[in-house]
Amino acid sequence: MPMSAQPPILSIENLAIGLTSGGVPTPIVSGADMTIGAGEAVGVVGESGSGKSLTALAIGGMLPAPLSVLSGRIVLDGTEITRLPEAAFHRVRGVKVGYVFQDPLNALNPTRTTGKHLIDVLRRHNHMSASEAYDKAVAALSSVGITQPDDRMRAYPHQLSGGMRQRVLIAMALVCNPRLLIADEPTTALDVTVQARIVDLFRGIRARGISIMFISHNLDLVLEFCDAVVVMYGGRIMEKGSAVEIGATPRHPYTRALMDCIPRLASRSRQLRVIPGQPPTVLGKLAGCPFAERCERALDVCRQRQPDMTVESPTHAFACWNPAPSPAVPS
Amino acid sequence: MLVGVVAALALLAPILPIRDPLALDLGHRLAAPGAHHLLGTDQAGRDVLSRIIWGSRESLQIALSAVLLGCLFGVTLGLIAGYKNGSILEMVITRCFDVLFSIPLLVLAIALLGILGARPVEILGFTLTDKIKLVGLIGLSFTPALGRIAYASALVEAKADYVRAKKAQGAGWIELVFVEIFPNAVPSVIVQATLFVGVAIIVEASLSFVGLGVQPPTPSWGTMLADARNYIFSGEWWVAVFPGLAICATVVGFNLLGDALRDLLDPRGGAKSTFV
Amino acid sequence: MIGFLAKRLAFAVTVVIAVSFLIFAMARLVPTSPAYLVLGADAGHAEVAAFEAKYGLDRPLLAQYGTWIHGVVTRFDFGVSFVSGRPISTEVAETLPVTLELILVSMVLCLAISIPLGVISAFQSGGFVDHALRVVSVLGVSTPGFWLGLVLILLLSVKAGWLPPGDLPRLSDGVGPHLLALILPCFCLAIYYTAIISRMTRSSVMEVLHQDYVRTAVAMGLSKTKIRMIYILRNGLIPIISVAAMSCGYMFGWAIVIEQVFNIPGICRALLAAIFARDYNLMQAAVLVITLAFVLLNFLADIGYRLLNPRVSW
Repeated sequence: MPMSAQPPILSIENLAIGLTSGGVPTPIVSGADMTIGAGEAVGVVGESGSGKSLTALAIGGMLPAPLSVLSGRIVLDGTEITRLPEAAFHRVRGVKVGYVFQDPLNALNPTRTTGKHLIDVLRRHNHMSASEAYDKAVAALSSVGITQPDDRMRAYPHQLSGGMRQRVLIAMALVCNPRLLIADEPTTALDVTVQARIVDLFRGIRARGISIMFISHNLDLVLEFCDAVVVMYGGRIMEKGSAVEIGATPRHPYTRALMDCIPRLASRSRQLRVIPGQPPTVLGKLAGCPFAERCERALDVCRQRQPDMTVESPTHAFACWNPAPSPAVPS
Repeated sequence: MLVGVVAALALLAPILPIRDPLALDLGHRLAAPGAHHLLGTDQAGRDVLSRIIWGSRESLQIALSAVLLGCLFGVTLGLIAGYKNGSILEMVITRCFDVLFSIPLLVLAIALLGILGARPVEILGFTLTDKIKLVGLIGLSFTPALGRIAYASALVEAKADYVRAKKAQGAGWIELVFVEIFPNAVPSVIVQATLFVGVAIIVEASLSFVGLGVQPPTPSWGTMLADARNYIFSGEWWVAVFPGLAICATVVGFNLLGDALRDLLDPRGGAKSTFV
Repeated sequence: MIGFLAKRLAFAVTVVIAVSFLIFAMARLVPTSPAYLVLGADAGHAEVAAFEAKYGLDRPLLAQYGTWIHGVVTRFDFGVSFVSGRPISTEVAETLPVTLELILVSMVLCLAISIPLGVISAFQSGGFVDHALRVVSVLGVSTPGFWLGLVLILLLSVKAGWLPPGDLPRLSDGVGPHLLALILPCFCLAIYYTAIISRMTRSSVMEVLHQDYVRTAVAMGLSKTKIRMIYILRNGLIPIISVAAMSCGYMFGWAIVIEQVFNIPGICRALLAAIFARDYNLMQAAVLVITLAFVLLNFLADIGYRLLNPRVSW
């Protein structure tokens, strides 16, 4: 992780998200810590239900009821935004942080043209005339690689391809120049060839100095594209570190299991591994490590006590009682 | 619950300790509700309570048969059209549904009832009584809606793997449609049919009210209200109010039953508003 | 778009012709000649033959239908009433506007109540309005409009004397009494569809509420009002157009009963009277006109739906 002298764009400290019923808080995500520096791309990896999307939604104050932030701090660009009132979040979302979601098919209003989508966002956050907003919107479209932006301004979402819709959504997220872009599985619903081009687009965005939180279940993609990686499971952070460190020496068994799930041309002979068992259900929390039930290296202590973060290097830490040996030897 | 009570009353009408709904008692015409006649008497001295209970038999009988008839036609046609996806048969059936949807069926039914007349008509050796005519026309008007529901689920199921597997094993289309596909259409059809029973009761009452449905002196809720119409100005309110309340209660019952069945058989939604 | 309109129009015309022919044929296939109804059951053969010749009833069915529909289309001539002897076009011209007014006012009333109600209960689902709507809508779809009419006449006209119990004074005789007389019948006609449409609005809006594009709009920091008005209502209310048009059409059926209860001189009451008098000329004219109105409404709704919904191709 390149250490920047500047303060981070986003820092999340000991965040817990969950629901409170009858005064008893039940966390679904807990102990989430991460920072994203200026111009840095951080990948958050995990299976569905690992809490990665909830963490992302919490930043913009968009947790669906009855979920809420139970404890911890979220600091965005030097301002604490953990418990802002809903009205104040209107000045955070779209302005300081832009969101891009998974399924571009339904993410755009079917009865509104591309242009109106962009102009809606622009005029909401800036005092500008309609023609100014129009020009800005056209510029935004061409900046995300859409050709003939003038024509596309008049197109309805159903007239665009999936990749094109995703580009429009990215343009919307960036049109007010936020410093952080949160992309929740932005390429999952797309064809492989389109995926690659959208990832290229994200590289270009990072090169413009915009920080990116890239949420994905595809560890390979994240290792390739991001500077740093956070691996989540069952609402907790399992391991985090720079992409180089995680890629070379993953210490947490879960991270290693994720890597073994990825088919590699180089290791043709090896069978593709599956992780046995199911991800934990949200409310049936155990005292120990959430991954213990499915872990090959699990010890008795794993089921009894939650492991603390072990610091491996200034940029690499993991939460495991019985980590894989370092340097990792392929089994 | 309500449906159960009404059904029980209707079934038990002959053995309940109530007065003869047809017995005239000219000495007690238009008697107000009281100990002797719980809900009063009508213009011919007949007991309103007993006429309501006997009337429920007519209403339920007609409404249930009409809905069953609609289900029979609609579901059969809908399933076949859905299964024979892409065929001429599908086009013909769905076009028929379209046509039936785009005409004022109730108006047409009323006109046809009028043409056929109130008295029994003999057509092709069949005697069409007033009730059979009612059942036929109300049932017909439910056919397209029920048919479309069955059609929609058959369209989906016909493409499902298990149906294809059966087909590969050499099952005939009749078996496929009625054994494999039909059960999947049942929940949504039952929900809609239950709701339609309520509609049928109201339609029957309306038709009887204007004189095109059940013919006097048979007690039916609609005819009772038609008679009562003349007395609302002179103050005998009970003859108008109680039969209508009976209709309301019964139809509410069927609607609640339909809603409950929907929640039970067809669970969807229920989530609370998230963002806005 | 032209292709769609042409196809849709052709379908509408076919439906109207089919329905009118069905009624026309049914009326003539019934064994008893209308002559006996007009002249009396003991009319002689010569008299009946003369009557049938006068009205062309002795000609083949298709020829009769051809002449009739030709007259309707080219000269707005529906023939004359067997009973009153007056031209039916006059009857239609007198009664149709009354029914149209009744139905349009009812529909406006219905939408004015049901859409806000449905929208509010969707936005505040689980709230007071939502619960109230659940109860009221079940009662609304379960109450026969004509009985409600009787009860309201009893309460508001006979007992309280606030509203007229029936009849519809002409608009030219004063706007006040005319509107006053419309209140009860329109309410009774509207209540069923108010219940239906408010529930449909609720579920339609609820569905849109959970769409991804609403989440996108929230994530872009758009204002609540904008999201509700532009993103949710626009999409949520599109399906209501077709439902409203269908309901408008069905109201013609219920209007037969309501016009009867409130003694309103509309085309639906004329139809019922014609049915009882076996005045087939008037009856088939009324059915034709009602069908025409019904089909036209659906046609307009279809166009409106397509204009508002860019996803549907023409």
